[in-house]
Amino acid sequence: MKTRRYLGLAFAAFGFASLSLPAQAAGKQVQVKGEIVDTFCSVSEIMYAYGTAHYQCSVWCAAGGVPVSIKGDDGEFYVVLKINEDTNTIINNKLLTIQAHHVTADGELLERNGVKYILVSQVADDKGVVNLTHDEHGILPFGN
Amino acid sequence: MRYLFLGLALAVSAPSLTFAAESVGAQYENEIVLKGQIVDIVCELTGNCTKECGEGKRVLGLKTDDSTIYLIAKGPPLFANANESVLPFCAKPIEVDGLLIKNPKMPLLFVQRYRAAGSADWKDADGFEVAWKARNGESDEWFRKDPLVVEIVKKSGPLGIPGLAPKP
Repeated sequence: MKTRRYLGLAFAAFGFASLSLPAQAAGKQVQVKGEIVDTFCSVSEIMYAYGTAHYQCSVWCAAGGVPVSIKGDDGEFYVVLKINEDTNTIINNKLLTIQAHHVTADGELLERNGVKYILVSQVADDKGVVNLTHDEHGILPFGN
Repeated sequence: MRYLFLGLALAVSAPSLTFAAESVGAQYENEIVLKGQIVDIVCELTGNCTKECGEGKRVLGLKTDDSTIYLIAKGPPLFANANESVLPFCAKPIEVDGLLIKNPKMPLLFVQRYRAAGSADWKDADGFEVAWKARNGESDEWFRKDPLVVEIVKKSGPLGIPGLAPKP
């Protein structure tokens, strides 16, 4: 009887493990240089979404739970899944305060279904907002 | 007769194929209805899992039966995502209606409506705005009144550089 109970527990534990530990992909250590952006506006291209012109909108979106990405100088998007030790990147204070900043980020790159994700271990350099786009574009999307 | 059966089959299946997504005028947008379950993408990719898909603090995705993960990046409220609406479906079956933005650089999902798999009733994925108003009160523009936003923009200015102001 006791054996059956332990066998049942073992099967239950195996079932839990298989539910809570999805297949893991092997990551690659990378250094990405680029601008911190609001993923939706920049990927959908519904408006110009970079630099000073879009700074305020990117803060709104990050505060609204839209995922934050780095638009790399290489033209690729890297969705941020971790910043330093924090995997809570939705409405994340650190990410909110570096919107539109040009950064150098070290981390682990993972790819799935056409999306590049980055687990940032450290922001090695932060130049602040250096992409001055407001003279050309104004403040997007509402002009104020 | 064959066409009659085909017509009947299409008529019966039509409700589940009906799109109600609203266009945002994006170049790469595609109306889409998907079935799957909500997942925490950190958990899926690294095995670092927390309860209830990170309780809304982690990036969420929709994982379909073929194991494709769609990044959920937007919901109907202005400048906000759909996390509050879909989070209760962490590891549970859900159907979402919205736009798949198929930018060649990367795809993302704009969830506009959702329903429990098998349910007849769609709900708007506007949970963010509902929850925000419950915390902060009524406002037509939550994004200008949000305490966190107000604090950050007060420090950095509307252009992100303290002291730099837009030309009048």
